[in-house]
Amino acid sequence: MSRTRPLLRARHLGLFLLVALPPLLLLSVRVGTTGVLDLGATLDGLRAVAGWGEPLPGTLQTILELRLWRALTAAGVGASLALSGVLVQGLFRNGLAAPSLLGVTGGAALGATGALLLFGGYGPALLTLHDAGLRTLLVPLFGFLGALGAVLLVAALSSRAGRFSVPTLLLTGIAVNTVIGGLLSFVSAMLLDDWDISRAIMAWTFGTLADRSGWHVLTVWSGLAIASACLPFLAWELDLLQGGEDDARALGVDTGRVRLLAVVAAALSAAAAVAVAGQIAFLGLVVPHLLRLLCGPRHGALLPLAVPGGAVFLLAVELVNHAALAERALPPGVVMALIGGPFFLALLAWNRREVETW
Amino acid sequence: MKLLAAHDLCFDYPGPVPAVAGVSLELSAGELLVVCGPNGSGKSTLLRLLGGLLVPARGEVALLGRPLAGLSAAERARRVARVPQSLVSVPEVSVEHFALAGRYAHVRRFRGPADNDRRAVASALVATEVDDLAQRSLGELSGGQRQRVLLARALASEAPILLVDEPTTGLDPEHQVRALQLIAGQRSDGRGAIVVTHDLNLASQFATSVLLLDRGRLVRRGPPADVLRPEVLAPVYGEHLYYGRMPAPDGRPFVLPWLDPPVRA
Repeated sequence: MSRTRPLLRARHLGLFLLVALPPLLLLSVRVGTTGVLDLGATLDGLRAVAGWGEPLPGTLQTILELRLWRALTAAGVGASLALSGVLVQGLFRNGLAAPSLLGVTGGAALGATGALLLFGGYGPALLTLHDAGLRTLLVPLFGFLGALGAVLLVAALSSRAGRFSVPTLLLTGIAVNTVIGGLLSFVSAMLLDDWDISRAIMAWTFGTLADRSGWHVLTVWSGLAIASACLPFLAWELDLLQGGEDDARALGVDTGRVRLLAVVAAALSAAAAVAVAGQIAFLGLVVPHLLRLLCGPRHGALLPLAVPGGAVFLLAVELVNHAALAERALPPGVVMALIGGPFFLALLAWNRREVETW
Repeated sequence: MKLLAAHDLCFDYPGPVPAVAGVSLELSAGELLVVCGPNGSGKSTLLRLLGGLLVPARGEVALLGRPLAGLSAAERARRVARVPQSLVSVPEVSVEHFALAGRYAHVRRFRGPADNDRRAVASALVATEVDDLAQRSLGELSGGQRQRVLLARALASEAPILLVDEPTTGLDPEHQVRALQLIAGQRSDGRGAIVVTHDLNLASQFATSVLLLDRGRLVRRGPPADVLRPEVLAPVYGEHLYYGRMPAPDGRPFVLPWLDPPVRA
C-alpha cells in the first residue's frame, strides 16, 4: 500500500509560509550590504514610510526604503516566478519546463537591453536624479514589452487557426530563446567598451534586486495579482490536462481556453518579474518541484502555495546572501544558479523514478 | 428518443484514405454496440467523432436529440462519458480523487464538489468494485484495476452514453470478461454503450449489435451472429480465420486466427 498522502498537508505548509513571510520581510529590511539596522530603528523607519512618523536621520531612511523595496520586490519576484513555473510545468505536463521556455526571460532581457542602449544605464545614479522621473521605469517597461513580444512571437509561431500544440510551443520557445540569446551576446560583445552599459546588461543577466523603487514593487505585484486571479479557472483544469488533451476535453474541460489562460497568466507574472529584477534562473523550476515533493501534484494546492512559497524562498536566499557576504553580496541569479543547480541535480538523483504511462 | 444518432459522418486525415466515410448509426438505451474492424479501419476516429473530440468534415451527431455541434464542452460531458484505453500520464492521486474528475462538468466553480457529486463517485466506485481501493494511489494499480477505475470515473459523470475504447487490451481473459461484464451491466438504468474493440469474440458474447468497419466505411451492422460469418468477415479480415460456435445453449459464433486454412475453390 503506497501513500497517496503527501508529506505535508497543503494547508499546513501554506500556514507556515504565511507565518514565515512577515518576519522574513522584516529581517530583509534590517540586513543589507551596509550593515544591520536595529529593530527599533527599522520599525520607526517603516512607520515613516507609511507616513505615521518622523523619518530616520541622515541616509538611514533612504537605506531603509531601498531595502524595503528590495524586500518587497524580491517577495513579488519569487512568488511570480514560482507561480509561473507551476503553470508552465502543468501546461507542458513536464517538470523540466520553466517560464523561460515561453520566451519570457529572453524577451525581457532583449527589451531591457534595448532600453539601456537608448537611455543609458540605470542604478543609483539614475535613482538619485531629481528629474529622473519615470526614466527609472523605462528599463522595466521595455523589459515587460520585450517579454510579452517574445511570448506573442512564440505563441504565433506555434499556433495554427487559434490553437497551439504543446510540443510545438516547447520547440518554438527553445528556438526563439536561442535567437534572442545570440542577439544579446552580439549586443554585449559590441558594447564591451562601454563600462556603464555593459555593467547594466550584466546586472540584468544575473538579476538584480538592488536600487528598486516603489514602482518596481507595484509592477511585479500587479502582474502577480492578475495571474492569481486566473487561478480558480486553472487549478482543477491543469490536473485534468495531465491525463492528456483528449481526456481533459472528454471530461468537459474547454482545453483551448485553459491553455490560453495558463499561458497568459504564466507569461504576465514572469514578464513582470523579469522586467523588474532581470533574470533569476532556476527559481521557477526549483520551487514548483519542492512544493510538489512536499504537497503532491494537485494544482489546487500547488498554485496557491507557489505565491508564498516563491516569496519565502527568494527572500530567504537573499537574506543568507546578504548576511553571509555583506557588501560582496552576489546577484540573486548567481546565488540561485549556485544553489538551485546542485539542488536540482540532487533532486533528480534522489527522486529518479520511471515515468509511467498507461 | 435515441441516446445517440449519427448521420453520414465523414472525416479525413491528411492523406489518401478517408478515416471515416459516410457512417451512420444509432444507439438506444440498454444497447451495447461494439465497433469492430481491422487496424486503420476508423474505429477510434469514429469514437472521437461521436464524443465530440473531432469535428466531422460532413454529417452530424445528436446526443439525446441535441446536435453535438451546439453543445458546450460541459453539456457534452454530461451526456457522454469516455473511457479511454490509457492516459498520457498517471497522476499521483488517489483513486477516489481521480474518479471525482468525472464530475468536472457538474461541479460549480467556487463551490467545489457537492454531496451529490460525492455520492455519484462513491456509487461509481462500488459499481466497478474498486471502492476498497478508494484511497490507493493510481500508480500502483494492476491493469485490471486501472481499467475499472477509468470506468468508475466515466460512471461518476452519470452520463447516459458511454464511449469505451479498447477496454480489454492488455488484460488476461478473466479480467477481459469482468471488464465487459461491468460495462454491459451499466445498460440497465437507461444507459447505452459503444465499445471499440479488436476482439470479435468478446463482441460476439456481449454486444447487442456489432458494427463492422473497413477503411472508414460501414460494412455491416447487426446482431453478432449476422456479422461473425465468413461471407462478411473474409472480405475485411482475409482468409486466415476459423469459424466456430460455442457449445449449446447459447451457441454464439466465434472466430480464431488460422494459420493454414483450406484453400477455397
